[in-house]
Amino acid sequence: MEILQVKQIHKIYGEKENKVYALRDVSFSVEQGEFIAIVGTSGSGKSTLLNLIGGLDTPARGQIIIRGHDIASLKRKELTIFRRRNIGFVFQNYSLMPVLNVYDNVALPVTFDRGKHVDHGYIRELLKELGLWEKRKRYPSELSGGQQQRVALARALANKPALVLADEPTGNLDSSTTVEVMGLLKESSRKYHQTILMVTHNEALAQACDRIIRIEDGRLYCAAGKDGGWL
Amino acid sequence: MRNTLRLALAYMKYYKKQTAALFTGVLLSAALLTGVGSLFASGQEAAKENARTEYGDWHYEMRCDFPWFGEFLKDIQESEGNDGIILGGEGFRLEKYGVETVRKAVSEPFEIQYVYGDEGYLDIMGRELLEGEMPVEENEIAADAQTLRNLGVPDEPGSAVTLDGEKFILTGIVSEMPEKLGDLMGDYMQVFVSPELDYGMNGSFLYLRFDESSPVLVQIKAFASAYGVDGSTVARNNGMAGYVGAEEAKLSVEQIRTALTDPSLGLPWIWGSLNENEALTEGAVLLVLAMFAGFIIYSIFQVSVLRRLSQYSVMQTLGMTDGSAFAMLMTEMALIFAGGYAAGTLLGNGAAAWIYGKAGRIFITRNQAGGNVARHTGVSMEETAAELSVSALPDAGVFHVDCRIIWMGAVFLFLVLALISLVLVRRMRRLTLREMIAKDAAGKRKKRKIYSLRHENMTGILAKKFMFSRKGAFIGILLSLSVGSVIFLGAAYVAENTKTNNELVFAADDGLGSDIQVYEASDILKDTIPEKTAEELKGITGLENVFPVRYMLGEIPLNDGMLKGTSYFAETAEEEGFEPDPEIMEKYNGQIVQTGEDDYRLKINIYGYDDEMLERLDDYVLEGRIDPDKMREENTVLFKTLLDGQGNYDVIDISAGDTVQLRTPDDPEADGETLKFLGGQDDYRDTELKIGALISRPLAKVGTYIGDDGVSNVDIIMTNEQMEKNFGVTGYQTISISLPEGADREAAARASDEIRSAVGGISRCVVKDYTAQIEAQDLYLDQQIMFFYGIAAVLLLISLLHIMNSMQYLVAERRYEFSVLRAMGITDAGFCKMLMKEGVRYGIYSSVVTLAAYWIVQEVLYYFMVHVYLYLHPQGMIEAGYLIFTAVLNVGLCTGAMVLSGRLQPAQAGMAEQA
Repeated sequence: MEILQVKQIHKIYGEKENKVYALRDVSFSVEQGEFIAIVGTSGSGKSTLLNLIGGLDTPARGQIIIRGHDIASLKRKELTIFRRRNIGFVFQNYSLMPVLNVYDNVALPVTFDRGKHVDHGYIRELLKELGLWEKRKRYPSELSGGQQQRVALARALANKPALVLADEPTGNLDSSTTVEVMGLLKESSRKYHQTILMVTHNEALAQACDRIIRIEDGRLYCAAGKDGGWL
Repeated sequence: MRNTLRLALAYMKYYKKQTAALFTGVLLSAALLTGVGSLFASGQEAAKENARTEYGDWHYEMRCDFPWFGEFLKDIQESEGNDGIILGGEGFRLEKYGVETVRKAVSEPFEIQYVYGDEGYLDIMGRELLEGEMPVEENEIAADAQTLRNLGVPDEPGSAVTLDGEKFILTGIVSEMPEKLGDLMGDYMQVFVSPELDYGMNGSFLYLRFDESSPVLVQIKAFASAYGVDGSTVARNNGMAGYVGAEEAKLSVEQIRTALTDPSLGLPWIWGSLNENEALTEGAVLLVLAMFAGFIIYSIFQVSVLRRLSQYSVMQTLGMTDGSAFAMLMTEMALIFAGGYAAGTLLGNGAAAWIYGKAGRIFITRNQAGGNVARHTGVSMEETAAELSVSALPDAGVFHVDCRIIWMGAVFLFLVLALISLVLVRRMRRLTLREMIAKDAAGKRKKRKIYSLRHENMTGILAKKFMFSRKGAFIGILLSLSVGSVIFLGAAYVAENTKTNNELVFAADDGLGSDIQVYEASDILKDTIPEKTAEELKGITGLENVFPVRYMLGEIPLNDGMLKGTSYFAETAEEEGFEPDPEIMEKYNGQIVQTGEDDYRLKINIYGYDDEMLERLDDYVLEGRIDPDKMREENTVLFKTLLDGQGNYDVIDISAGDTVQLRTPDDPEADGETLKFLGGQDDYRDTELKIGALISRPLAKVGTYIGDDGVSNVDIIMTNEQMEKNFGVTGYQTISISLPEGADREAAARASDEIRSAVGGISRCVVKDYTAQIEAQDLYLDQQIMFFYGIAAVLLLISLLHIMNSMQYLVAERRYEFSVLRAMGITDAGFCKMLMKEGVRYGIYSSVVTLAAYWIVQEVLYYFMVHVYLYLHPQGMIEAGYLIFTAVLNVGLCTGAMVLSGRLQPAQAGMAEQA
């Protein structure tokens, strides 16, 4: 089942002589459960693409359809609600709330939905799965980078989203922790049949994904399958 | 240096909002400080000029029939003089001098001095020749119209005048002598004679006016030393002394130490001694404003710096020294300060000039000459009321820009800026260390509670957690948020109590509590307004109230140490310069006489009021209660007691419920020796009266016997019926009449015409219409209160700016966290609600801090109002409405500022930074 369709996306920053084309005519689609790597050099437009898919930014042209909803047609409030129910974010610098402990950080996005009861059983399962249960009362500043990124992943999964967008999730981690986090991402994708789009500039990590989307100078160069074939 | 300047300019340009906030903060603070300073200075200047008119344009006077005077005149002649200085010596600069030679003094029919004054003297005393010529021949004189009227001589040149048996021709009419010179020199009249007239008993006096740009006390000392003048023969112009530095240092350290350990002196005495012409009060107000300005500038700038702390740390990493960081901060602040302070000074003084033009009189201090001024008897109520009324205040004169406060404020605030820069640089250094420590202290005790297990709404928890995450910053913000509110509440508290005090004081002053006064301008008890006439007055249409007052002079014993403050009365004080009033001594054997070691007999005024007046006295009750029916039934009275210099009503040890032995003349129309209370027992009757209530002020008063200024006399007040029953008094000494609210001047004029016709045949009965004075009084009070509120409003405006800035900082500091929250799906409404919750919390907490801090401030202000400024019945607590208003405003402002600051943060800003 196609969960994401990106159709002829253009994104331009600045005006007149300062105009910069961040993305040009980018199109691709993603099936549910796929773990996709978006790769490219610095400034190639990969994070811009992720922000557009996440509804954090709006394209100049084109359509982004998630679970059959064109996110450009959603009103601001609808988009916010749609985002929290369908998209989970994992950032390079973890972006945890420093004033909340691990458990509350993970539960936080669920509490934004008024009337929706927090599924504590699911959060417990997530924390145990990610090896964080013993550390549930710790604060972000008391955790290592890898542990913090695991909390961020748990938070992204807490709402059981259709799509997890991870922006350089291992960018701040050492190699052994990177391997550990990548393992968790893959495991989550497999176990929860979760679709994950991960931005990275690390080719080796990208190779571990189901598919690689390569962007250079704002253009989609190719979308390679994990067997290396061009799709 | 160029780099520092370039960097500072670049920061100012880049952080436009912070620069604008700081600029506005400096501008408003400077406007407030310099504007209020100039208003005070203008008021002082007007008061000084008024004192110059009232007491004469001189600083010192001395006998000059000594050899040194010739040397002085020689020096004057030889001196070239420039810039208005006629003689400059070592340590003194003389601007004017005048010589008065008293040729003769007579005491009949009045105290009159025959005087020859040179041009300098006439100029110094403001005596102008209005008509005719000054005397040249021996038998010629010139005098003012008032003196001529007293002598029964027509004020026309050529009139014949007989003085002490000698015949003179009036050659000229001069303007009157300075109005209050008599307070300093004793009451006498002057006639000017020719230099030719000489009785061989001359006394010459030299009057000096020094350059007022430096203290004249130093100059007179230098002058006396230069010419060998005996200092003990030098007299000072007390009316001017406080304005020109003519007084010795008020207090020594030893005196202050003594005052602090002596409960009868204490802080009120120290403050009163130092507060010449309200200069200390005004200084304290300016200091508070300057400190507030400094605090606001500090607060706004530190917020601005904290927002870019990371950039400074990068620069420090790149090799910027603490010294360079300080120079950069200082340069940036100095640039903003220079522009803001200059613009603020212009704005503040412009606004102050406008305010001064509209309501300048409220800045003129009322207490004029210093020293103990003896009471006066026989003063008509008309004069007393005029003296007390606002109309008696001088014109505000022209507005003066106070350059002293401008440069002093600039220096003070510049030093504050330097200190702020230093503190911020030190804080930068400490912050880096603290961050390091924070990493080490990861195990710091934290709450391990999981909130999401019990709370479905985590935004409130998040808001609370954000607030308390940095307790130091949290407390700092609360304190800074509450400063403006505390000052606002303090200003409002003082304004309300000043309003009440003024109303009570003026209501208690004859003539100002009622629109029209009818009174006997006499000190003879038999001169009264008959009861029938009072009834007639009550029948005149268009009058709101007619309050007739009966009067009797009495004496009470204060035995066995009942009189606690013996220094209160000139007769018992034994203090040099505080002499008993000679007229009271002569007519009544003094206000008080000592009869034993701790026993005294005190002359008092006894008044009979009607019921409505007695009820109006409720506002002045210190102890007990007023019930006219009970007073009549049980023959109880009200006792108006005395207030000491520390605001305590304990000069006389007496309470409600005590009895007092009252001695009065047996004959209600007694006069002469009987009123000295020295006659035989048969001449008097003794009545024992129970005191129903102690009060702080009388209402209608009679000042023509032993005097009554409403403050320094003891009065016994009863019903008019009791006056008749106890003493046989049936006539009235004074009748206070009020017109309906909003009655115009024409109505007042009509009413006073009718009243005049009703009292036409009564000997020495005077009708005085005070409508215009009351109108001026009301306007004055309104303007004064408006000024207080105006200041409070500007303070609030500055606080508002500061609150907005602080809240913006709070939001900006968590910009990234907020953007993550948004990315995680918090809606605009949810985000707004979260900010609102935080704003409300800040508002509530800052209100609590405000109340706690204000409570302390209020205690201090209350102490000053009661013990230093002797306010009548000040409220111990500000009206709850102000507290509620401040709390609601605080919550509203914090919430509004927080939400507004949140709106200014774009949803994706933090994410964009990430990208």
